[in-house]
Amino acid sequence: MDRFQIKPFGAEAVVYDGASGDTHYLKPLTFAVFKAFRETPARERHLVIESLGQRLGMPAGSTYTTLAEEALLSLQRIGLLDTQ
Amino acid sequence: MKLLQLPQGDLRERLAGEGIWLRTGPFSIRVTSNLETVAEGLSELYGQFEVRNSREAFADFHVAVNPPSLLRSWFRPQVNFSFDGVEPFKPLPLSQAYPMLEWGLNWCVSVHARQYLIIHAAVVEKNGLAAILPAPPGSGKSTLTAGLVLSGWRLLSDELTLIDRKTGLIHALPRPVSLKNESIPIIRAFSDEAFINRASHDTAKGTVAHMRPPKSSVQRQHEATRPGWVIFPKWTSGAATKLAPRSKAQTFMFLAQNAFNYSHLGADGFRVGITLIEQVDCYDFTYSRLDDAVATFDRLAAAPARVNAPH
Repeated sequence: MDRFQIKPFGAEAVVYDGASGDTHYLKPLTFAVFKAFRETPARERHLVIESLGQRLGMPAGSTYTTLAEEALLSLQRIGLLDTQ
Repeated sequence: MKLLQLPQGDLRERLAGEGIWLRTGPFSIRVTSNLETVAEGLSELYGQFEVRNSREAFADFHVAVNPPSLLRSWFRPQVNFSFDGVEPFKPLPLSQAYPMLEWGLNWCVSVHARQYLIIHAAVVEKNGLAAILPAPPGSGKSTLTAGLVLSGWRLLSDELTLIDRKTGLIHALPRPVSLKNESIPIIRAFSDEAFINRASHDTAKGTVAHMRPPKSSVQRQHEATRPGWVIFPKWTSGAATKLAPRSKAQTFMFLAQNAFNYSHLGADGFRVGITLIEQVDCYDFTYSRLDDAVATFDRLAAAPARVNAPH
């Protein structure tokens, strides 16, 4: 059984982490980052974030990159991603 | 047999002796007390509830509300709540004996009823769908609940939403509605049918009194109900009545954080909560006038039936 139970509600989601027993709310960008890194965990982080930005239609160099980096850090901090 | 059919003398004698056995929703309770205020509260508020011979009937919870000891009662009159002989709370002033019984019963259910996901929220029903009303203290939740049940909505509970983990249905626990401070005169003025018992002053929640649950709600206390809405009420002075959709994901998180046993249930708590949220519409609700609030809820209940089966 997958460690995570993920329930999307539109662009947001809630995630149950079977390892910690914690439940997390993911706002839209955080959920998008979470999905992107789960889909391509082996790629370098800046490539994943760049690729996600292109999919979301975010212009390069916008505040998107900063926000996506922050979302990634928060996902790592709460244990939902272990990307280095 | 209903409690109101017990002669007053018998009620007091049983209460001080073998106890009064009561059925409230899915739970049976045996209460003992030698206090007149407890006898009065039960007599005034639980008249429609089923009673049995407490020597013969099984009870889920054995509770007592009594003064701690003769000596202590002499220099500082106090009261203790005990559950199966254990006293989980510090004593309260004797004048708070009846509210202490109600708070203690809430504690018994919230800590021990593991067959449910239990959310700290009021819940009422109309036309076969339940409206769950979670809200922090001071939001007007109990006032709205009382107004709704005095206007034809069925009371399932004013404090504890019991979600059956197997069926997802909501079970009723229609005990008296706890009213605080300004909500007491508001509800008295709202309906002549409201019976509110004597108030206890200077409690941790201010002045507290309890409203008798409607007879029809008690008669239907074994009917489980499908969830229809999760509505966060907020009373704001002078505000227009407004029902605004809110995020299902954020609603889920609020309910999980305000459930008594969500963490204890682990993945099953998540599953039950998600199944609930999939079935309901979620709203923020602002109001200042109780009449308008009830009318808004009535319109919601009168809308064509939805088919929100779990998926």
